[in-house]
Amino acid sequence: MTLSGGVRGPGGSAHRRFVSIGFKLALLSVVVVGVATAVAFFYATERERRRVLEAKRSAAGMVADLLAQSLQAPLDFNDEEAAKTELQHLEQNKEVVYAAVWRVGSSGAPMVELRGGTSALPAPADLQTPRTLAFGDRVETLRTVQGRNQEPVGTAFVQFSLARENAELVVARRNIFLYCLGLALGTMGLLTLTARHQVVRPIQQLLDAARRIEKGERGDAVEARANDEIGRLAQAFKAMNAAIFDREQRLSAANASLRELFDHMRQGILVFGSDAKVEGTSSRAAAQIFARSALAGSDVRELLYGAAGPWDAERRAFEEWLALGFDVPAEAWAEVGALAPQRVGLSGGERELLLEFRPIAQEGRVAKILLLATDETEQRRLEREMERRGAQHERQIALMRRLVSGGGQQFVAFLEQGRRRLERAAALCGQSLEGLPPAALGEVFRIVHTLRAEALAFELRELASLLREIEEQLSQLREPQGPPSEWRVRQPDLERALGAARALVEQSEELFVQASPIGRAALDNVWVRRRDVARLVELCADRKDEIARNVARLAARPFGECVDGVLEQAAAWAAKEDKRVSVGVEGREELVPRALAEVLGGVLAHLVRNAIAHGIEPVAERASLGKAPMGSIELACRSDAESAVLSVADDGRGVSGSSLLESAARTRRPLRDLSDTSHSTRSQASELAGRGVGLSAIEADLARVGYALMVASRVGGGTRFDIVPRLEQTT
Amino acid sequence: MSEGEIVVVDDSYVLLERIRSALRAEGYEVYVTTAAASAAVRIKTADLAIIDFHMPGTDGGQMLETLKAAAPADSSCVYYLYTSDKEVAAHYKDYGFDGAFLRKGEEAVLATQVGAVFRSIRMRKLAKKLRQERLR
Repeated sequence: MTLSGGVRGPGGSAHRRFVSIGFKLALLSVVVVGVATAVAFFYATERERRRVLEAKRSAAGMVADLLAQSLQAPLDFNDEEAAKTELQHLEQNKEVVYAAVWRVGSSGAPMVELRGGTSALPAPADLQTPRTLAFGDRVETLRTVQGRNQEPVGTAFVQFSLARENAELVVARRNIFLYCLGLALGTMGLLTLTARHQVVRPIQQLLDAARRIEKGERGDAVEARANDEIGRLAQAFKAMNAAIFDREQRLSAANASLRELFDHMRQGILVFGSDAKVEGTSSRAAAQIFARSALAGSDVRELLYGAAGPWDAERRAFEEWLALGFDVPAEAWAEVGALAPQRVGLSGGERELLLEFRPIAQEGRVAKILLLATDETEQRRLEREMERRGAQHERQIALMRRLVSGGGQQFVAFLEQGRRRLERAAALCGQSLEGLPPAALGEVFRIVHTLRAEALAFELRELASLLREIEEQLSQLREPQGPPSEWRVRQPDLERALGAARALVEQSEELFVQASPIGRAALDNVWVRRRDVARLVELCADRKDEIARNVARLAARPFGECVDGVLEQAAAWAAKEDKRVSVGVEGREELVPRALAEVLGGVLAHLVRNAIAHGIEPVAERASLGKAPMGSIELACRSDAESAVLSVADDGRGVSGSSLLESAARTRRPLRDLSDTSHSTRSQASELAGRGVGLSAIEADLARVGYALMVASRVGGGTRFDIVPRLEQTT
Repeated sequence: MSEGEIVVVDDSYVLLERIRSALRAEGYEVYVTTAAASAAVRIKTADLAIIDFHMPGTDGGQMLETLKAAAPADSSCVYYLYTSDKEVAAHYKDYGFDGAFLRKGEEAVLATQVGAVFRSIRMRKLAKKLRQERLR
């Protein structure tokens, strides 16, 4: 029943020994029942003793009265023998231990006496007062014997033993004790069981339920059958349990929402204490950013600067900041927060994090710090890519400026010469630098110096910068300090640098080709006067020989030149129709015969405008069809020695067969192709395309220079126009 | 007002120019030199000295001794080694440096590292100020 153990009281008070309420109730019942039993025991035994003594006194009194009456005559006649005989009658009574008779007025020895045992006491001092008195071991009676005249003639005294009564009393006391003990034990057991069932067990159940709640488990419902204080306590506990569970549910839901919110944020969120250890749960993004499944207990210094050595300035600054951050009052945080690191590079700088630190204050001090880490690697990569593209665009614009000013040929010459020069420099530096003659070193230096200046002139800054570094190294070689073993410039380094310069020259050429509207053909171009070419064509007009064919090729124009105008305007045309389109070119270096080149600009412009107006769908329509929002128009050219085949293809809606049939039926003319002036698939003419007149004009222009227009279309799959030599022209 | 004064000692003009350009863009007052004598003059007012290790005729350790000897007694200048060599960086204390900047040649990284040093300098000043306020 006793439960013991140390418990901490509310508010963390000192330990006090735990004593079960059951034990207390049991102890109380033992004390109360024990006292009550003892009282009952003593009362019962005393009552029994009194009852026995009273009976004994009464009997003794009756015997004494009878003796006094029987002694009347013997004493009245002073007959001692008779008195003795009367007294001897008492011998039959085994309990009479002493009896004596005195004559009146005598106070000495009795007239006669009877001794029944050794326990008899001496004769009483008072022989005058009749009485019956009980003592612990005996009962004494004294009676006055009256004569015939009713005057006292003597005194009779009888002493009875209480040995038998006392023996009976011992038995009775033992029985009473056993009864009381049984009653006490029964009462105590009943009280204990009642207390256990009615009080201790329900309280223990409440206690167990409270402990389960304390552990975070849901407290089971506690039965509240009894309609008493314990029952009400159980009901109150039940209600409290339900309220706690409800609040926990809401708290858990709010926590889950918050967690979900955190997890959906790009930022990694974690909290760390003054020991720099991460506490509690962190957001999912944090685990991803720091590539750890669990962050609790991790050292934030290791997370941010794990790869850095003790010499690292950023790590040391962060450690100093941590110490300061937890040392200042919360109100001084702003000043400290401004000194926190704002970025950190992870994995050797491959990944970049944007950092934000927020204090969590308690009692005016910074207790914890919240870290919000945003992975900006991708954003920074995009920014760098944009910067790179911007720089590339800038270089292309610079190259274009050179081309426009007639520098294209010079640039091509610079590229060719630069390549040759760098090859020469690499060959000279191919041997040991120690044995390199000063003249050779001087030549390499001059090559690099000249190239650097030229690169600067063409605004090739990266190449110029590299050549400047090579120049620096060569300067050191020209004026070496100390023996060759102490030279800072090594032959492999120099070779690598010259190789890098060569790569930059190649890269510049690629940029030039990309920037040129006629692509790689720009590298083969030479400047000739148009009037000279025109005259040559006139002179060869009647010839069909090799000279005529070469003149024709000389007069031919790169396809890229013919599409330049279309490329510039296509976006604007599409915008007017509220559409988006990209125009691709294939074969811009291909040569287009001079006659075709003269009409091709207009032809292509018409075809592209038609494609935008009729073929390419609006953005919304394309989206509903599952097509890319931006329509595509591809211009392509393939040429051989004498002719070219060109195409204009779009990925628009194509030409509807029914609309063509309707159109043909309306005009009652056979359907040949879309260039028939009577056919138009569009009921309303627009700014870009009308009713087929454009196609008819194109066909006429092409026919004049020996070419025909062919069309192929698939509904929903786009339309393709081919410009091909007419058969009669080629046969 | 400049973010701080920096002296850079290196034997490569190319690198010095690039460092000067990068750190000036961050708002620092930068003095670059290949010569110990010039650096010794500038070190008197500098907050940070960045010293190359491999230099013709001398090394970073000797250069550091020269500059520390030239600095005034109450100078709070901090000295950082600039190298790409982790082995050398690991011995920065043996040479007497306060720390080391790695990834030599990457000016953006250097600017970040220099920023951390100046944050440390400002933190020490702030901590001193807060201590004085507490004493009051």
